[in-house]
Amino acid sequence: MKTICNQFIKNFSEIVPLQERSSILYNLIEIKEFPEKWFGIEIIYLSERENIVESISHLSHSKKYICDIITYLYENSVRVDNWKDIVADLFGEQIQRLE
Amino acid sequence: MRLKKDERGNFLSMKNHPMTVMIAVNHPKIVQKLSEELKEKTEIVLQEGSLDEPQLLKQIYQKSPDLVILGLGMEKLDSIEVLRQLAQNPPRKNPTVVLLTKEDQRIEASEAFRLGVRYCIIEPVSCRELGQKIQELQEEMYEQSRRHYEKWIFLIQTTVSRLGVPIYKVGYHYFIDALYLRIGHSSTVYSAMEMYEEIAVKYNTTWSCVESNLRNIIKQIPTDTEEYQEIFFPRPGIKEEKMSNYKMISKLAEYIRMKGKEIID
Repeated sequence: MKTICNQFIKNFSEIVPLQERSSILYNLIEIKEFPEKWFGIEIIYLSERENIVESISHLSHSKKYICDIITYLYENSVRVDNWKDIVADLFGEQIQRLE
Repeated sequence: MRLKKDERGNFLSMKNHPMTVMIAVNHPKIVQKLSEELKEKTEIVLQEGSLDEPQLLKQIYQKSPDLVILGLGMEKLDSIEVLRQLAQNPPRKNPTVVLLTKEDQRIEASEAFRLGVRYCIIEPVSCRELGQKIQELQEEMYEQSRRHYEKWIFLIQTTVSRLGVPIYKVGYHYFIDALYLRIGHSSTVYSAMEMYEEIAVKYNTTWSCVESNLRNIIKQIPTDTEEYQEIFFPRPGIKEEKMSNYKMISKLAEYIRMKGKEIID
């Protein structure tokens, strides 16, 4: 069973021509594959122009570790185009195997 | 339903208070199947939610469920509109909403997150898994409620002790609970009678017993202290008319709420 739990939402206002009105959702993914429980990250970008959903499901068995990473991504307003690089740095080669 | 007093006297404990779960999803007999799955969990009460939008909203406002499991993409039920209505006019007890969606409805579900939904379960999901999730959420909600309760009780007891309320008197615990309940209902209509009855249920007594003990406790609060003047008569020089006991409780509760709002919530 896959559950998505929203942790944070970052809203951006419209400042022409610097940025468009948009939101980034930072979500925790929980996957139960008996007897294991995996945690991952989902980042969603929503705007009038486009919607992007990106996720990596099986990152760690530690909920706290993944929640900490999500908090880091949120607090630094990490965007949908570079969050995977940050996660890749943390998880090394594993990330290519998981994607 | 009569609540039992647990060892710590925490009547908000969801272990003693059944969690009501309203299910509004387009799966035939899901409530019956889930009831079968959760038959040993007497502290979870399942309710079938209507698949008609106005009807479901009416049920949520009237029955005040703790948890609502809501399907997405149903014919007669615009779940996003239901969430929008709940966000605009929050019910007296705002339920936790779990959205049941399909993988290709992720963007629509994101709108639900923006409207305050915290959890989204991706289908397919079995009744057993859903039952386990409900139990997990019950534990989580109980823990949150317990932590919240303990923080507020600490603040209430500290303030009440500063006021010189006698701790060894019968009505002391009623007084603490009355303040906690009043803080929790600060933005809603909540009558004195409702409060007395809620406390009476906890202590397995009558509302009149609660009322008279509260009256006695309030009578014994020293009125010549700085704390008393600061809380009940914050505007020096302005003579205020005599307050009823309920008004005094409300005023003290509001004072504690303002103090605690930043450090607790």
